Amino acid sequence: MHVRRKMVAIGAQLQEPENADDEDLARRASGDRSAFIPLYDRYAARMERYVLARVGHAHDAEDIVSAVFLRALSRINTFDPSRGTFANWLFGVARNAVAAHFRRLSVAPTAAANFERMDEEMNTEISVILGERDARVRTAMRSLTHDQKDALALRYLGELSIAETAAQLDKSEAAIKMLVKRGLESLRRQLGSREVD
Amino acid sequence: MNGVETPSDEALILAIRAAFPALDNKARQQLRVQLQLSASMSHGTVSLSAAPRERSSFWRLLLRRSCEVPRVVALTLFGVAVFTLGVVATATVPNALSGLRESGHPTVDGPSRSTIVAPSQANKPLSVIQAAHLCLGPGQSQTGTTIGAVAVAGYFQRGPMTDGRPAFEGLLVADRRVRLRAGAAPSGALKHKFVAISAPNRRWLTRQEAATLHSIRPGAYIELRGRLRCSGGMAILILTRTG
Repeated sequence: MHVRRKMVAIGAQLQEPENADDEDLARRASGDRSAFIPLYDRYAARMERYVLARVGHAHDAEDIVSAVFLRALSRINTFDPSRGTFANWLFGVARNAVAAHFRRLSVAPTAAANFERMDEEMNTEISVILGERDARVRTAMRSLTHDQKDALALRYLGELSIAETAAQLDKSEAAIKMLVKRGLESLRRQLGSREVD
Repeated sequence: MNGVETPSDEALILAIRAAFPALDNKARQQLRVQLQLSASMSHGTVSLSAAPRERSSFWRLLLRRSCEVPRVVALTLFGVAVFTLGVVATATVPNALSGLRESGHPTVDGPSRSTIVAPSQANKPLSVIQAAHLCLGPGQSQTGTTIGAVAVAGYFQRGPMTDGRPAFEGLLVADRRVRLRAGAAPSGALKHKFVAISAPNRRWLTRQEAATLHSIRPGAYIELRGRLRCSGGMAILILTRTG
């Protein structure tokens, strides 16, 4: 029975990358960097949305996402599961990269101009169909406070949990719930029910 | 949805997600390739074939987890593996290098050249960000490092055709702002001795187009062969096309 339990445990450790949890993959990646690729597959879309919401420009977002994952790969050894989830660590890297981006640009993170640029350069077909509503959503997002925007972006675009978002923003979970709630209320007020149905 | 959102929030959340879409698949695939290259380069070499890494982790884990297998056996296995790898490398690397030289692939000392290749043939796309990561840091030189095929952002030429200025020396400036996008150099461009590809961004390319930049066609790749060196935190590809 003991041996059987041990075999089950080993089997769980050796599970396929697609089934392994993030922390296990990250641990493996510190020895075998190729184990990082499934993590990239899992987080790429979430990271892209989050970074796009923060910087407001698709090309800049592409560069930053690229830098984030390359940096994460090179520093995967510094990930410590006892200090938080992998998602939290990765989005910490992303937030630093976004902050560095704005430092380079010497503009505030609220850069309205970037959003306008993005609207200009959005891909044609999609922007024709959805452009108007999306532009209104982006405009409404711009009007939120910095904390509200950050909380909403981490929560719904980065798809972090409340606890992870709280750790990212160094706030309590209750504070994050309040930020999210007020952010959504503010968006709803501005967009009206017609826009979000 | 856990605790904060109401059912009526869901439509709003979907609207937020729609307003900030993920990047297109092509960009994601390019980054994926970069990461794979980075992962393989972090071991010191670019792996030319798929190494059975899963097997090594299996043995490692099995040895760590299983109390029945003594550590001496683990060390013995490791020693045998190292010895085998050494023998295989000694036997195959010189042959592989000579094969590369004969096939015109980049080598440290051999002549380098540039050719336009189909995307499917560009088996090792390498962005300038990737190239920059080959640099250890400002002031450290890695002259002689070779890179493979690069997706091209644009073709930049300052050859004999420009007004009185010296011929361009053939640099690929690997600034982090540089974004390599698929494109093709115009036919005949590579007849010149030196080719340079550099682009802080697409707008910059557009601005330069009137004077020095030829139009580019998305979807094609150009294979660059040369030597990479690092200077001031940038990776510079020196194309020394011969013939």
